Amino acid sequence: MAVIHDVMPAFLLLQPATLADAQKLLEQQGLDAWILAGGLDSLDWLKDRMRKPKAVIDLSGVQELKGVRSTSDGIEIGAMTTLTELASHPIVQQKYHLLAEAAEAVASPQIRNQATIGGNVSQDARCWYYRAGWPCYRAGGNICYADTPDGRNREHAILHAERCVAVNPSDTAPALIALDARFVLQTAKGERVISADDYFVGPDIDITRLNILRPGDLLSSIRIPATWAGAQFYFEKIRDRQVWDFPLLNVASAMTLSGDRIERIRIAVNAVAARPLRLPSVERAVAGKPRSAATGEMAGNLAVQGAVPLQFNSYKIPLMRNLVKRAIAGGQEATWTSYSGQ
Amino acid sequence: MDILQWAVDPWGHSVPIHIAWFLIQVAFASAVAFLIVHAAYVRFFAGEKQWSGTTAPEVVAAIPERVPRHSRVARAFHWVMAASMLTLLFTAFLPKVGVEFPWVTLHWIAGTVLTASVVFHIVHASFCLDFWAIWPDKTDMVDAIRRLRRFFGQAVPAPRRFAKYPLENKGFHGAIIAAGLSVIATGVLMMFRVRTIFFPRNPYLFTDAAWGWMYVLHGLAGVGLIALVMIHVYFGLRPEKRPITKSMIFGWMSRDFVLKEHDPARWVVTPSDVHPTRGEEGLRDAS
Amino acid sequence: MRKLMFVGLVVLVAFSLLEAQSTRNARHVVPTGKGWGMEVPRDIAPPVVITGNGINYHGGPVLMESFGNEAVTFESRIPTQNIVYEPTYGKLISRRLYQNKPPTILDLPLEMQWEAVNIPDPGNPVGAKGVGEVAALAGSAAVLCAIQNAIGNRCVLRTPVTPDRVLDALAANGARPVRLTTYA
Repeated sequence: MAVIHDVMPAFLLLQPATLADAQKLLEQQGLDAWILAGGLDSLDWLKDRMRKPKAVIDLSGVQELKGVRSTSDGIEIGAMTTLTELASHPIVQQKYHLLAEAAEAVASPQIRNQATIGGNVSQDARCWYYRAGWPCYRAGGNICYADTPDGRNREHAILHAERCVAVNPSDTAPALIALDARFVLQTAKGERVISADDYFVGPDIDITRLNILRPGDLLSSIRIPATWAGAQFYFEKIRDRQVWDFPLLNVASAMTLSGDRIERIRIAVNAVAARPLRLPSVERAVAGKPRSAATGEMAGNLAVQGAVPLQFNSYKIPLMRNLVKRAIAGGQEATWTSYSGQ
Repeated sequence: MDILQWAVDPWGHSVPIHIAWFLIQVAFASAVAFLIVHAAYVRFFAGEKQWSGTTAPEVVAAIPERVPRHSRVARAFHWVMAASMLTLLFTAFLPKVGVEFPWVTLHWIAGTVLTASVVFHIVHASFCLDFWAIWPDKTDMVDAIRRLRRFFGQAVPAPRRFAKYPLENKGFHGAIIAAGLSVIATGVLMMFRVRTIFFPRNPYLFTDAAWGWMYVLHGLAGVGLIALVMIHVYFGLRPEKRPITKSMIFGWMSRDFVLKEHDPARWVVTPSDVHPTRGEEGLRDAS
Repeated sequence: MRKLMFVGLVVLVAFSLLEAQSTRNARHVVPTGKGWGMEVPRDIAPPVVITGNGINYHGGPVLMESFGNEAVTFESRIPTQNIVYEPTYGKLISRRLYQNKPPTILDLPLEMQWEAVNIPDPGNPVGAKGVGEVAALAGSAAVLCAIQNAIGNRCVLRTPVTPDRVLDALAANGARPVRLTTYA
């Protein structure tokens, strides 16, 4: 029987107006539910008929999930806030410019107008074997097609690859980790606040998902504390095309200086593993050191320790080394700061 | 409700990929049901065991107070194999029921230990111990039929006492051979799918369908082992079997227990000059 | 390096169109040298040249600019456009546009230059040559040959050509056999 990969399957579209309604619907529908935020990830799955949920819960009407608001300690961003709104918000631009840069680096302007921050951090892997519906580990099967001698794995992982070598494709995720963000989840057992780092799950823990969300859970907002507001930020995304492309590698860092020495730093990279990687060893190593190319190179070499290249992605190792160096050594080392790097 | 999980391979063919995970709960529930039924039967329905035949007094006198049953090597094998088996079961099935942790490396390391210990056991039991002790013989079958007929109230002679291993033990060992060898053979081949220290990884060693059936067999044997191990541990903890369990820890069994259930003519525990039937084996039969 | 590929490409233009659009008397292009040996009837009407009132429709340069830009646009596929087959299964895995990676507007140079080579094509009776997409074929090949010439002729390159693939080819130094499939 032919396997059809065209035309969305029929589903029940539910459009709640409040968060409480959304949670109730999630509880009712159980495993049959699919949460729709901006739809940029969901529609790919649905159009290919790789996912056939019985019910799709569209959150676009839930106003309380949208918007950026100031809190007593930083800001809180509703999970349904679009990336355009986030990148152009005055507070984000003034104090948390790292996130604005990261959000602006995502995809294309049209996509950013529709895509949400919650969706961007929760998006699924873009490994083309997985997306083609092949029964790999991530899809519940028992092989990784990319991690083979001939597998086309140019964009796949170099670190922490436990059976699955797909990467997390989010640009805002490393920025949020660098800003020490907290993710607020609404679960059946109530509200749960976890650090950005804990939101992401590697294949050694669960090979079928990239984040901690279980059926019935909802990411409602992201809180950014004022700890790193106004710090020295660095964001760089490397991709093949100048726009509308997932990262080959990206780096985000927030640093405070005392004089010319690095007081403290939070740095994270993405698209090198199935989860965004914070680099605590680098953070410890550079604290107290001068902000120079030498420190940057030391940090870069430290960052890539343990990296295992696949057949076609060994370029990611020098690339990661250089990006970490640039993040540490700062703007004067980088001839460009945007995502159009080469 | 299919016991297998199917998927579509890149060429559009339907292939199996693994067992349906609800079989874990099925195996667990079946084992628990067996435990409950057995415990209830023994507590409320079973009468005193009756045996036919007696042991000659000079043989009785020659039986030592502590009868050697399992040598140190045999005991070591059993506990190493048990530890690796429990590690394998927990690393395999806990993640499937929601307890998430990095399990793959631990699983194949424990699998390697199990494979090595089982290979050792096959060689050791075949050449250094009494190879035939674990296999059912004609006496066992005749006695089994006698017990069954007595259970249904027929008037037949009582069964004879056991040799070294009761028929239930032999049956359990047979089941373990089937499940254990399946899981080991498929497991060793499945190690080609991951990075190990033994050989280079080759995930395309077999076709997708062949790998699929291998994973299915591995899974079926694995869930079978859940039930088998649970039942085995249950019997090990039962009060009337405790002397047997202790013999696997300390290596010996008391003379009273031996005389109660075992026939020294079939399981020779005396020096050969007292009991000439088994010749030189004698006390060496303490395996 | 990418900019080098785009900017300064020589675009092969239809000689005949230029000739036909010339304000000189419209003439038929006759085959010179090797040709198909076709006789050109003298009574084929030349393309219309609108003159009069001092207004000359110089469609030539405008057309050339757009065709030149088109050729550059098509050649800008060289670095990013993926058509990738999985070698073990022989299936196409770059199924969607974001995997195929056609160049975007931001991948094209702001300034593009074109040149007209006024050499008629001897292979047809009017000396016409293709423009736009057609010009991209030879141009892409020329670019690849140029890169290969620069890094060493043993390093065989196939599109897409990105910095990491050039580095890979250099590292392999001809040692890795090139499979007859487009690789990622």
